[in-house]
Amino acid sequence: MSKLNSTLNKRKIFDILYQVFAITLGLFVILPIIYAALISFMPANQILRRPPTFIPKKWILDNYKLAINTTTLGRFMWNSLILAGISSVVRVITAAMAAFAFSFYKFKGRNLIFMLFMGTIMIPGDIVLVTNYQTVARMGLINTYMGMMIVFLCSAANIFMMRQYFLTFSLTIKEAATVDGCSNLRFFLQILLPLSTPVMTTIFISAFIGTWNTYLWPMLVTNDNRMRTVQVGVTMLNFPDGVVYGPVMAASILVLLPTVLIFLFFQRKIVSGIMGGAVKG
Amino acid sequence: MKKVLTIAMCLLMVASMGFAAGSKEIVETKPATLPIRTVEFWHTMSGVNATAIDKMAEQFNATIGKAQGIVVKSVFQGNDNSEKLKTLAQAGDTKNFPDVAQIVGAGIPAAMTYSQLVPVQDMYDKGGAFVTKADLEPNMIRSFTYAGKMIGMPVSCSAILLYYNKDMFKEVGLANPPTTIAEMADSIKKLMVVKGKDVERYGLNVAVRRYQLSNFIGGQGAFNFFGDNEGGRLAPMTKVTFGEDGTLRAFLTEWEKVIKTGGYKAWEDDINEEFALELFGMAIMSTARIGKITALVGDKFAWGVAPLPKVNAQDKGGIAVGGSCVVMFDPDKDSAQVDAAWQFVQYMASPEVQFQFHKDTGYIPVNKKVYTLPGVAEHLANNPAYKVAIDAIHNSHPNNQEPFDIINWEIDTIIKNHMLAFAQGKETLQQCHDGIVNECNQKLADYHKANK
Amino acid sequence: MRANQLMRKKKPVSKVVEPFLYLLPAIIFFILFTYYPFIKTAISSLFMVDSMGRSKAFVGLENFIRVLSSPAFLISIKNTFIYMLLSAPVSIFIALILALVAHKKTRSSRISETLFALTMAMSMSVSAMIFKLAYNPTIGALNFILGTRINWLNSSEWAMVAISMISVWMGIGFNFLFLLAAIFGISPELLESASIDGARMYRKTVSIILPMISPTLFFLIITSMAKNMMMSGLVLIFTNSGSLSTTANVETMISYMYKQAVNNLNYNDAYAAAMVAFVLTFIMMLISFRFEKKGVFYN
Repeated sequence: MSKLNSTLNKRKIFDILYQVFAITLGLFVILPIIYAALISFMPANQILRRPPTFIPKKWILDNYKLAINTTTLGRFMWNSLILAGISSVVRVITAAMAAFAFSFYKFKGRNLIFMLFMGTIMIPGDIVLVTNYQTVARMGLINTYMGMMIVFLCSAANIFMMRQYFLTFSLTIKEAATVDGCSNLRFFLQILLPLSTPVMTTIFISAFIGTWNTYLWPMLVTNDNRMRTVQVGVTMLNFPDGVVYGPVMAASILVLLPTVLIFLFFQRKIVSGIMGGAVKG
Repeated sequence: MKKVLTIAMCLLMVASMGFAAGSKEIVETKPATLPIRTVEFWHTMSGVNATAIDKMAEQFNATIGKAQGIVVKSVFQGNDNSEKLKTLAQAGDTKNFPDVAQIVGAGIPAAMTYSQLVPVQDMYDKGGAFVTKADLEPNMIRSFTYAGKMIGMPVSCSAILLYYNKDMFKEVGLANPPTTIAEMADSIKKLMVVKGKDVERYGLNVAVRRYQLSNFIGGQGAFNFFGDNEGGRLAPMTKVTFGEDGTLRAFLTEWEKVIKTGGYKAWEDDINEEFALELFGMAIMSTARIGKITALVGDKFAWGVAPLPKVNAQDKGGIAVGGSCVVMFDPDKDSAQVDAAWQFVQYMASPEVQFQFHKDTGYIPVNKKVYTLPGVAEHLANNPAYKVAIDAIHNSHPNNQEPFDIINWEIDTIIKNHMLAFAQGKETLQQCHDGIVNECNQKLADYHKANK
Repeated sequence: MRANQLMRKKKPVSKVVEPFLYLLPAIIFFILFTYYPFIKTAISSLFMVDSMGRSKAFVGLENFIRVLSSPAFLISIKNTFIYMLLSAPVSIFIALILALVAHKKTRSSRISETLFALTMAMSMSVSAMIFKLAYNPTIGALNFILGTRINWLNSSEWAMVAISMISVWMGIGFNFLFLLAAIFGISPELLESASIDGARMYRKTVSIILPMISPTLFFLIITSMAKNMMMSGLVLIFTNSGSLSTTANVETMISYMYKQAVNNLNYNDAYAAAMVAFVLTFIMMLISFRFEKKGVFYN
């Protein structure tokens, strides 16, 4: 009995130690974020110390006030939200449609088209920046949300992930559905998509975080302060002659909050989405 | 499901945006009467400078703008307008050109290739200007002039200076800041502190790049040009001339003395902060940093600025004007629109506005009439550092200018890479000299080959 | 064999067209925003192009010869490879350790998982700001913590390492999530056949977990390799802000291309550099697919 007790205790202690270890490791991983957060509350003269100090002597909000007052951060966040939100939804739709064709149809040139799609992963957006700008300008989309979003509406990597997920479904599902008189479109919309929410969530989140963080393109296709995104807002705090770290760190933390919150909210979904067969060889 | 996700997401976002709720509302200028003209103004300023330049536009709208029915919309365009204009021009996207754009001097050659450009000179030729060319500082006019034609209106001009820590100078027994590079090397030897193998305190911090080098080259003799065609100001620059006229070698020979001290920090990390932390006694930076240094140093120690040390004691050229001008465009072929923009451009260079802008940002006034305004003498007496900067410009030959080298980024990369290698002992003086001269000329030749 | 199960009967036209309807948005998108500009770039690389981007004369491989004999570009190739070899493997390795730690369920799993994955939400500009301060040789945290005096961003030995470290850090979250999902995907019976004490933990990892998650590892390596060969963002943030005294230490192929095109209006070098980057990436991908056949276990 006592032996059992001691093994149980040992187990318990091991378990607690393990949890402490895991959380410590986690805090170590996010150390740079903690560092930024601490600095954002520091008075300017404390950031400048040799040796550096890490705990604010006096916790102040001045950096946050300055960050908010020198930019229209709220408007920027709204723009980023529209840009990232809508283009991510569209990206999920285009990826699902293409993946559906690739995994449930047999047609001439399927592999060739698939390879051509995958090839786009290797073409960096920066090479094609100027040409894409010309295209978008000719479409009259400068200074519009559509212009900002248009180059983010489809992604080969997302198509790939979605296809891998669809491939885990047996074709018999579709055949059974077809026999039941279910059209392909209905099968796609009413059976396949509802079954695919995990992977769709994953794609949505990763697309959202990706577009939320883009800088160059939204900057290029807008020339109106009211259309600017939040990443541009962060650079507006970059003073021309050297960085003023306090407000920049404060703005960084503010900008970080939405992505982190979304992330915390949906993290489980992301993991199950990836597990759902994103990479099953 | 997706709907739920989206809604949840929106709620989350809105909640998180609560943090930014106190955020300043977008400046939306609503004219009382019918809006007659909207002038789009693209600037490159961020931080305090952005606030100052937005204030300029607001005040224009409230005064001249209100009277004449002009509304200026000022827009931040990242730190390089030239880049953005290039993209527009290449896409043939003329209708999205702004009416007025702030660009650095080096951007003028590129700006001149755009058919929409309206040189400031053309506006002056029409007559009736309320800020005349005679009011402006001649060095600054020349800064933005190509082939005798004034292209841009100077607005935010700066000068290169030597910043030094007065307390540290006193501590090591130095009375005055150095006036030549050789003297500067001597000062470094006194200022530097070595502990074991490591330099605990440097004498000088500056990375020599295109900006610094063009000042050291341009100041030699009465004045000196960086490249042919007066440094690209008469016709496109096709080669650098500082190799053949010996001015680069003269500079490098002096600079080697600085390097040999061992107390020269040849790269810049956070130069403002480190100066304030007394990690070195001297730094070479633009006037635009005076405000920043004042704030950072506070009353921790006494510091001052001095004219850039000369290469040779007898040099008279002084320094080149740095900073930016504004250029005008006529995207809609609408001369009334251009006239409206011209009102704003002149307003930016007018005495009262320049004085206010100077006080807000530390840029050197472009209008000579500023010095006749009430309160200016007092302001300069209280801020001796600005006085030094203004005098340095006034004592410089107008021909000492940053070059119009077209491929300024490439020239900058070549110079900074070789100067760092030289400072770190990876290149000899000869290798550094030949590297800079040959590579600059090669790149210029490549450019002209493609753009005949 | 899937293919055999697919509809093989004679199909009416509407059936033939149907899959293409689903592909249509993606096809239009890729043609318009990827292939058209890419082909334009490829063709332009064989021409002399002026500063307005207008093609002047056919010059064959002249642009390639010039770019490939330019020391600056050759260094950028070297830097790109250093970055590629350093950033993804280290990040994936760290993420693997974290995933092994996290796959054991405890009451606080959620918290540690979140912490491990959080870097996924970091943006490049923000990360660059934080690390710039941390890297400052005198007032930054890193040298203070390590007790070193390294000049992180401005020395030829450390600059690329410093840049890679930022991307290692930013990549941890993404890689962690994929690896965690892969480990969760291994059947529990297989894992429980071994208990958790020290020696067996190691053996379990090597003999069961690693082979089982090798497809995921391969996927991560391949995707990050392509991404890292094309890396430019971080370098541009650091070099354009003027915070580095020399850019040669950190220039990558794409940042070189970007600067040639955008800053220098030198499309001749830019297009050629872009094509070289594309070809090198392509070769790297082929090599890794070769490796896949040997090293990856599929069940």
